[in-house]
Amino acid sequence: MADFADTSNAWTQAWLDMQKQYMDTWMKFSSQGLPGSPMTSPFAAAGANPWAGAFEQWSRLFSQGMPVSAKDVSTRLFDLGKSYMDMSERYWQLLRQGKEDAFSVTDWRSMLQQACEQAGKGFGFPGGSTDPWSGFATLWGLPVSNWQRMACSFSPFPGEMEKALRTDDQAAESTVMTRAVRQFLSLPPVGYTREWQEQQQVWTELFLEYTRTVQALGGVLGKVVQRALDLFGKRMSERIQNGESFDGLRAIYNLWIDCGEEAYAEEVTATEFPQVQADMVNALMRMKRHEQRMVEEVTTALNMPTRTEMDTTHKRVYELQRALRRLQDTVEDAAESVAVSAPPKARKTAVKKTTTAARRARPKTRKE
Amino acid sequence: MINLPLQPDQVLKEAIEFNSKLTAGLTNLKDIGEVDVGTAPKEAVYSEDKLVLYHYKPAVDRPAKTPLLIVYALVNRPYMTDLQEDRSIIRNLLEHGEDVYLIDWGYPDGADRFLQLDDYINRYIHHCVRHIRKAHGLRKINLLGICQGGTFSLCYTAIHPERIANLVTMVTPVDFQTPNNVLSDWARGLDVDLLVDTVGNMPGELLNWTFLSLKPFRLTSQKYADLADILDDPVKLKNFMRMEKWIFDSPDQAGEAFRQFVRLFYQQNQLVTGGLEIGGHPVSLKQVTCPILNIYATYDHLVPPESSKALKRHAGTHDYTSIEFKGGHIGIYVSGKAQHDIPPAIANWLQERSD
Repeated sequence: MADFADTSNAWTQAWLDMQKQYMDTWMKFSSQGLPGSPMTSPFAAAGANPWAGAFEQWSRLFSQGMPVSAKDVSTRLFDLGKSYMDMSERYWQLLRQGKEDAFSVTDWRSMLQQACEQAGKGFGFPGGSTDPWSGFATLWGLPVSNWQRMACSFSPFPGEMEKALRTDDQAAESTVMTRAVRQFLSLPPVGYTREWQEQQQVWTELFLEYTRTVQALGGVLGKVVQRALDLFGKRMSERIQNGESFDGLRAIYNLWIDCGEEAYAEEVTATEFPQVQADMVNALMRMKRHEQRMVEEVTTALNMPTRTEMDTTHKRVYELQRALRRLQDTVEDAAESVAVSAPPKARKTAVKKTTTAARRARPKTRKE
Repeated sequence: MINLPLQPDQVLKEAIEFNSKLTAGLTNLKDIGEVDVGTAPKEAVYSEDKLVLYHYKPAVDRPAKTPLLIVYALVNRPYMTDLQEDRSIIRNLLEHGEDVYLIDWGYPDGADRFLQLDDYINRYIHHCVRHIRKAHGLRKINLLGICQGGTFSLCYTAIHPERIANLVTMVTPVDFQTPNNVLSDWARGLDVDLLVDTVGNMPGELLNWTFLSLKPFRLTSQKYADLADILDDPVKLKNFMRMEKWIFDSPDQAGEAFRQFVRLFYQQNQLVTGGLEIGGHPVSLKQVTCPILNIYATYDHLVPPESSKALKRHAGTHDYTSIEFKGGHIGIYVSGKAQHDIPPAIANWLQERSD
């Protein structure tokens, strides 16, 4: 039986061959042209963005063989690769249309803008599609996307929860969902579990508030997106008008990144952004704090130790250790002063006079 | 008909190349193995709680008489100063005759959440300084503080001026509220009490998110596009992986110390506005009268140069030197130019002030 390396290499070669074949078809298609339907790919059935789709499929397969030390990097690389392939395809379609027809600069810029807006729809806050953080949007929605991933570790509730509550129609969501939640919150808690119901209602209020702050940050980032698109369109247009070309797709990608960073830098130094971001962190913390209280009620009822009890114990140990260390320091500092100020021969004697307690307190050393 | 900035065939060709590079290079990534960091020979000479003090093996027969203690930040790990053989500030300092010690703070856990700045500055640093003074029979040693470790070093020197001969600060925040300090703007709106009371220790993931959010498009997207270009080069790939390891190797921060640092430094800016006390000891930069070498980076997005340069106005010393490094917060440790310029400049400056 062939080992994993052989299998993997063979698979890689097979993939490269398949990909070449796939791209050859595109190349052929690219040079022949299909008048009347230049934006339609021969692989339309594979999805809206077949290049990115194909990339995602093989990246999923390949990532399974990654060692732990390279897992995170490979994941980030695959995410980037998918966005990059998605961008490649969109540009290919855009440029192909420009090649087919007799375009003016204005037409081309307008089409570019349209394509960017199309791409931007997925992450244009508010009023975007169900998932404003996916696909091409990863280039724009990164701060929020990374926040969502990171925030998962702060709550017993899944980090995707906020996302899952969105619908295709955000306006409808804001009315239907909010109405349902408000109805739930307006119910007076009754019966034996009324206190627990109250706790749940408070948590729901805090969750709604957190969701609102995440969306508020999304709204501010939406301004970044718009500004970045403006900058990008402007710089592309300038180049076209000057008759300049790009070294390649990477140069366009780099320009895009530059525009994104420039727009982002403008926004994050404005007064609104730090406040909106801080509001989001603070709202998450309020929610988590309340969750902790709820969990502690349960663990107390089950006679299990709580975080509060652990903290109290740690604090007492810490304060005891601190008081002891201060006493030791007084002795050691005095001994050290004598040692460093005494003539060399007397140093050994001075050091020996260090108290037994201080000697015991001195931690062991180890070699690496 | 306009001249398109790029031809469709070119886009296709590049997409194929990109994918091929990625596929072929991923085999190298799969075979990367263990990512090793820290290459200079060293010995652990003191430890306390999670702290370990390392003494590096001198690279010359007669190293400097006054040893140099490096105090790194609590954020990320100190092996950045000795990332690999050809990217090591420590190795270069050793080769220029310095006798180098380094504090490794370790990874605080839940039991460390009540550690305060007083513990880090007046206990841990103090004990390391004491150990070195005793080991060398010296009254004073040299201190090199990096980033937040530089702020700690300034506080320590202000409280214990009789123990520090010369102070070197690298990319050190001093004035925390200079214009264009994005990190400071963000920190000021935080309810740090709520944050620490809720999370206990400040999670490294949250810090990472904050740092990546300063330049999200470059640090989370473009960087990996560039990686695709070097996947076929095992040496460059390994270098990348070392940096990547360092960036995401973020220890949690002891809760109380984090609370104090955000409140006293970022929110109240007490190091320059006055009134700072650490463990009951008043801290004024006017008390820092020993020679100071202040090194800052012109493109530092974490510690803007103006934040570091404020030290000149506030320190009590009459012997102040500064070095402006044309680079960023990370480049100052690892770039070829930094390796070439920074360690010899530090060593020369210290040697000019040796007894």
